[in-house]
Amino acid sequence: MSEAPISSGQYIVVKLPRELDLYNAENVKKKIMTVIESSVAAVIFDCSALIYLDSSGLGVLVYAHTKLLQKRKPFCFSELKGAPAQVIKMTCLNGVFPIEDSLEEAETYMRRKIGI
Amino acid sequence: MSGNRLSYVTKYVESGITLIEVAGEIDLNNSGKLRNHFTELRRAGSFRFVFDFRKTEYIDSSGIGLLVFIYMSSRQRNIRISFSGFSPTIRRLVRLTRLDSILPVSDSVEEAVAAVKNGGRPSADHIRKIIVDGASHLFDASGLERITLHLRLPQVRRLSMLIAHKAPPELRNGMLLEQQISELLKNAVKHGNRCDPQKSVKIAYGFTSNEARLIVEDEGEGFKKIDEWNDFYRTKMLLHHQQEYERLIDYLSFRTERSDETDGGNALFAAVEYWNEGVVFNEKGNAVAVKRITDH
Repeated sequence: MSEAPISSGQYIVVKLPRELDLYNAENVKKKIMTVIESSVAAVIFDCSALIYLDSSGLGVLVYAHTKLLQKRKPFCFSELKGAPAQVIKMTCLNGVFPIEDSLEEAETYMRRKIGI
Repeated sequence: MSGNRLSYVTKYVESGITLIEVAGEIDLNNSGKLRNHFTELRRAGSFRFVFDFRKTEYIDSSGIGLLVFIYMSSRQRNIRISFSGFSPTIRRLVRLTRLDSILPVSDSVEEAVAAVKNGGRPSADHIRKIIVDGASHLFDASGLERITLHLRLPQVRRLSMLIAHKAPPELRNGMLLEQQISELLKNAVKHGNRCDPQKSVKIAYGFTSNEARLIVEDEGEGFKKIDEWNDFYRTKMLLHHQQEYERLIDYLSFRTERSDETDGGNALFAAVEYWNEGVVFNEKGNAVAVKRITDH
């Protein structure tokens, strides 16, 4: 998982790994929580590399979603495709997660959300 | 045009269809009234609508806006609608605004009823569930490949990949088949055998060009909360269909006292949707049989 540099009050792009599963879920969760707890105003989860997402990985995203809602920090997912997109649809999370087609659209959405 | 001339009658016809007969004129002064009426019916749970415009004499641009609103809000909510009985003038207006290829328009009310009859949001009866039936034909392992092994958690992904690769590529859905196999193996190792390396997992699998089958049995005490899970899932799906996303947030994860930090609590949600021919447990709850059919 990689992140763009954090600037206080700005949004951050968190690039999710190629695979998010039972083996790395805990580790990714810790990293995501560090980002959420930081001073960033909003988070974009870039899913362009993500090709495998299992229930543990999905659990991380649901947990992040809950925390972001609690902290009233806007967030969205971008470039979700393939099996992970199908898993999210099958679990009805497409109705709960804001999902943008491209990173560009996600950034536009986020700028509007946080007013920059 | 006078806004007072709009009237509508709502009738409930076969197959849960709400028929709205619209008479008079739809313009800026009154289109909001019909819009609110439709929204109220939708919120009350109707999800199949037929609009009968045979007695509608006039529609202005706000009336066209109303048709677009009805269409868009229905599309977002899996509601089936059909407009029928447009006069030649209204039909021309719809064509001029290039909406004729977008809006669902039927030539007659009968055709509109037929068009929406079987579609739209599934009723509560169509929500999938986990079945408990050890005698189910899905547990018949004849003709399937069988393996028994002391499976450990670190091996789950690798084994799932090896099994999924026995399936023809068109059945694999990218990595989706592998992922779905992995969830059932993980459940067996983690929740069934509680990661006890002395305990084994029995696996049977088989694939044809359009069919995937899998049976997984562990040596654990069994999944005992199936009724509770089914109730939870039913509520979740009803909230999803009703677009009650704020309440749906409480139903994103099914957790028990044994769930830990790395359990997503959502594996079976996807399983009952993916394995479209059934997710069946035996009575003890330590064996699950699943089947998926694709229509490619």
